[in-house]
Amino acid sequence: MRIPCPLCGERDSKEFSILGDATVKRPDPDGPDAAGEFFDYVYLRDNPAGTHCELWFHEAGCRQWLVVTRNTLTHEVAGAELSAGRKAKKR
Amino acid sequence: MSGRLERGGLIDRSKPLGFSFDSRRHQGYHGDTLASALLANGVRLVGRSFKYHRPRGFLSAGPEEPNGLFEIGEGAHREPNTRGTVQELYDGLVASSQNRWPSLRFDVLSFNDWLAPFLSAGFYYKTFMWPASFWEKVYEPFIRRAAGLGALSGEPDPDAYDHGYGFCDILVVGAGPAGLMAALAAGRAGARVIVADEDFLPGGRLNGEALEVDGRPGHEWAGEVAAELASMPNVRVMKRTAVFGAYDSGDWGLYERLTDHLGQKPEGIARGRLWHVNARRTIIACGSIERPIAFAGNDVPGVMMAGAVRTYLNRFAVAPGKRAVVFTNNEDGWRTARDLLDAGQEVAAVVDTRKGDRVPAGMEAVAGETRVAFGVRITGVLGRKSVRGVEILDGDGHSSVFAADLLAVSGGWNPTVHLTSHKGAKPVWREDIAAFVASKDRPGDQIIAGTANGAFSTAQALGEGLSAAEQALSDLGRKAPRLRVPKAENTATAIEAFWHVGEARGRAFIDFQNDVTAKDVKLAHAEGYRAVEHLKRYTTLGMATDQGKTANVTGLAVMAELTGRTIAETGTTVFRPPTTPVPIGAFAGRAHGRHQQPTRLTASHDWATERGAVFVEAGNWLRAQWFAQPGETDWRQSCDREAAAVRRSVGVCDVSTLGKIDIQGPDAATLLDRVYTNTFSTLAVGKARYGLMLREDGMMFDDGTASRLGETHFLMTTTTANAVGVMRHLEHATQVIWPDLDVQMISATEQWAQFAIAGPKSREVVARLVDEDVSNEAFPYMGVAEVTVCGVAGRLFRLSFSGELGFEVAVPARHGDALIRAIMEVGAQFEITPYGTEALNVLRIEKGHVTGAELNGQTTAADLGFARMVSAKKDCIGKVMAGREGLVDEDRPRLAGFVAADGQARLWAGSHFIEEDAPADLAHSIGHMTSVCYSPHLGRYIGLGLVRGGAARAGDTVRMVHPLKGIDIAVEIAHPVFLDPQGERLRG
Amino acid sequence: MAKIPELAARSHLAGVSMPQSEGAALREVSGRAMLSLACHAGNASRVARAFKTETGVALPKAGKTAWHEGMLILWSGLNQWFVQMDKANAAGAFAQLAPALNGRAAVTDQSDAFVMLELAGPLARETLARLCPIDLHPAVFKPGDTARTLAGHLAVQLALVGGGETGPVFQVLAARSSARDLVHDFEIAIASAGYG
Repeated sequence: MRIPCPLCGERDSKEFSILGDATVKRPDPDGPDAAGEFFDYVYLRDNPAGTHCELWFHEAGCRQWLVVTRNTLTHEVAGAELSAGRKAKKR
Repeated sequence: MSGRLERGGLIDRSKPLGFSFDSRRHQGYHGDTLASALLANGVRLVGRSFKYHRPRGFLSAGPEEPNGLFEIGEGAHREPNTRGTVQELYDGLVASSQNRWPSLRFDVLSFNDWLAPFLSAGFYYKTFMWPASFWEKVYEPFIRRAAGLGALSGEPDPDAYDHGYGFCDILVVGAGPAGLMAALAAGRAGARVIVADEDFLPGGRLNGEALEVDGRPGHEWAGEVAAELASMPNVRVMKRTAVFGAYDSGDWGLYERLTDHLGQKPEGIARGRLWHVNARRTIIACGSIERPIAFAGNDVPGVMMAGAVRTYLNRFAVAPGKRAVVFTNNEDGWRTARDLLDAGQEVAAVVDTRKGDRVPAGMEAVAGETRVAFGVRITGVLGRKSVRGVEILDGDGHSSVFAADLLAVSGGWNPTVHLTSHKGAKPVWREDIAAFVASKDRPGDQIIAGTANGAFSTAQALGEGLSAAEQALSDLGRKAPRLRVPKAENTATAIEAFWHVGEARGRAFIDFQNDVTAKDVKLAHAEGYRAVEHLKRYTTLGMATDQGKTANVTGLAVMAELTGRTIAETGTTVFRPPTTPVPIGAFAGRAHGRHQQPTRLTASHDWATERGAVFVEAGNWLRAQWFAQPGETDWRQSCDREAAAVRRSVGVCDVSTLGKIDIQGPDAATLLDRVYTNTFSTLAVGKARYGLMLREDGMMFDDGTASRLGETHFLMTTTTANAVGVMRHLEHATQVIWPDLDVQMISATEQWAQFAIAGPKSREVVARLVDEDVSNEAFPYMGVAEVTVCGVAGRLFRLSFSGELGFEVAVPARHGDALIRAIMEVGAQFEITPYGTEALNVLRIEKGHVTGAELNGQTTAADLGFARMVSAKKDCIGKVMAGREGLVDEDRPRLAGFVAADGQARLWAGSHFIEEDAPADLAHSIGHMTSVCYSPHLGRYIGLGLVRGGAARAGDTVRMVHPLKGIDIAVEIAHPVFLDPQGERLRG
Repeated sequence: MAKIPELAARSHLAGVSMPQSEGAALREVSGRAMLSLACHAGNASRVARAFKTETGVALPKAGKTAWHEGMLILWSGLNQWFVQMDKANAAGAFAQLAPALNGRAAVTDQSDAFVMLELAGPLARETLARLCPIDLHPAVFKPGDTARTLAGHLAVQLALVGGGETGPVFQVLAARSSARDLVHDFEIAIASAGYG
């Protein structure tokens, strides 16, 4: 499978390691139900059959964490961007 | 040679080759396969079938061959299950038949054939069950000996295998008429093209047929096109290369055979090359495979596919028999009759199952020279080791026998659709050609052309090859060249589906390699295994090394008839890569044995080797485990000596393997506060602090020391095993969780060679290496400084894992070898002793320091006595989840030290702790021993472990139980720090 | 106290014979130093300007290298570069750059973290195709290009740094500790590059 790294171009998946669901966000540790929210954050994941956003780490390349949009049924990769919230710093 | 024709063929008669089969010598020619050479020598009996040990001959001339399997070569190079139809002949080739004892002619296990009623499909679900005790001692050994086809050499694979990465615009699978046209068009358009064919001669079926392209022999046209392709710099022609798998993103797996066709293997050359090719478009032109018809006796040597007979005649100039009967349900079979007659052989009859009396166009001469009959079928074969005659039943019920030694069968052609189905799109049935073709739901980058697409005439194949290339080029935004489709025949197959002869007496084989008959399919149906996936597994149809290439469709067609469903409704099983056998060694490439993982060596490795170090694998690193001195025969002698030397005087240990991460930026301290449980923003410049890192689920992840080199500059260390994982963890934290942190990090593990110098005399050694003042006043415990080490810019850390006065000195790795030698030279007067990981382990256990044995992924900071290191004032990764009820439970086993109650017994890591009066079972386990060593300092075994109540129970006695070793002894719980609990030795 | 003379430098490949054939030859490049430069947040433009002012050369874009009077700069990541120069000039370069970049970028010595190799010859691309899963076709990987990728199972950085009639010249940067394994992999790749 090939992942289109925004910095390095399309690369073979063996250059990457995969973490998983990119849509989960680390909860507020001071929130009212922090324990429950952290439990969900650590353990619970949806497993959609279809388009999914995943975190991939370009470990053997530019070492950027990417959010990859991939279809879990067909494995088609629609795109990848630098991980959420991070803007490529322009010159 | 009884089968060789005097003229013709694509063999090179100027290059005769000698070979042997079952120790008999024969001769063939360059360009022969083992199969064609054996048939040329009149050898028909080439194997014994898997289950019934029936005599078998070649069914085909191609890679789909189910019967003709051989062991090729001798010694470690011996390769079983090699298809004789694929193996190129070379001078000196040694071939043996398989699956027979004592010989092919007289095979003792052919008595299985008489037991056939008891060995039908699924018999192994119903037998070998009683008595139960017989399974291990009688049945299994017998089955193991009887099972399997060929035998492995039993020696390690002596061959090397290579890898390759290829990229192209258009990958063309198959170099037959469709593939060659496609590659020609794509190549002339300037696209980057790879065209791959399993065969050693491009041309596909054009090499096996007496068909013309543009008025000249088809194989000549193929040769010219192949030559033009080979001359184009943008085209790579890969012969002997099978495309075996379709993967994601336009990735394809190819296996290129490099030396299987050579008698003398060139030195140092890999046997084969596994290619990972990425193609933007792929044209699948891999042809089709002829399918047999099932009738009684259809497996006797001399029964062959009609197309294969033509291949032997036209490509190899071999007549597989002298007097043939042709059995066909389509136009194509007639060509075999014509080619046989043209080669001067006899054709006793053409048996056509189709209704009507229509002799195909152009076959009038055939009809004139032989008997033809329509609406008839073959009900039996005479002969067991060789065809002698054929029994024919006509539409009126009359039976007649024809003498013949060759029966050429054509049941139609199955397009080779496997590659199009690897990504899940199942093939679809086309009633008009009675064949499965590729689904339109296949991946969009795959274009099919030629007979693989159900377009069975030469003209269609050529035309489709061109239009496939035009489509691919258009998709890629390239202009197609102007190319005329050459003239060729355009006969329709006019097939009338006919799968098996119902009136047969005797077994009609469907899967030749696994000995599955039409009766087995009926049995599966009767027992309820009717779905095609159940049929496959219950009968083993399609599960042999040929993957049922000549069996699958016939099998499911028979099942369809039995269930009353259509073939379309019955469907096929799932096709998975590889489509053809690929040596497992090819997937490993060079990464096997010692090279399966990379080996990482420290800067002192060569020096350590000189010093007699024995090395241990720590992840990918090799670390000195102990240094064997002359006279030491047991590792304990070395380990005890080294550990004692450190506490007595001074020792040196290479600690370069621990991860080092250089962290810089305005938010560097903030980052450390968020990933460590304790606080680092309060750390002074020039100081180091021990830190604990948790996983987000609250479990201990890693520990290490972080040093503050500047206001915004830290150097973090990790354990050796977790270096890569911690780096990934930090980059995740700064890029995903907190991308607003202004901090940069880079691994410095490799940049620095680092040595621990520990013991009462360590300061004296360090003082002689370093320019700066290292007295206790100038450089107190946990200090960090940039120093000059023997003239080189380095770093000094006052840290101690051993619990003795200790330092770690670091220099850029290129100076590491020189530094260890300098340390040894300077330390000689203090009897400095190099120590390895075993002694290191003893020293740290004596001091109650935890390592991976305690940080096992299931322990919390509180479990290991670090509760106070988890700051209450700030969040950190893992903080919230560490507060879970189950993780703060007082009853959780906690860290403690252990000694044998009798003062001398050996302790064992992995043992469980049981209360004195409780039963020794898992339900009563209150913890386990994590680390054990013999302490030379204390003269006894000591251990660290987790036990309910922990070190607070110091003085209590529990039992240490190791059921696997049969050990159950009393141990005393102790404080985990066995030595110098106040840490006075450290701080002087 | 008697002082030990200055510590000698030793390559991790000392004593290892470097593979070569008519198709391609691998050799170690010595005598070079390498710094890593990583911009702090919001400082990319200032760093670029300061670097250009001090060295005369512009920091290259993603996937590219730049060369100027003995200094070779390889893009190594987001707002990150490796800067290579002769070891003799390294201390001076560092002393010059450090104040200009102070607070704007993290500068770290990586001279010893990597082994610097060069692969040259008419079959250099074919050799790398045995090991590296990226497209090195001349139309795709051009002079001045660089890529961080794998060679076998080891992470490397490739750069096309030269070439001529005798074929292209690639720089291969690889982690020091596993360099012997990498050379072993190259041995086999070089031997098999032209075959088949």
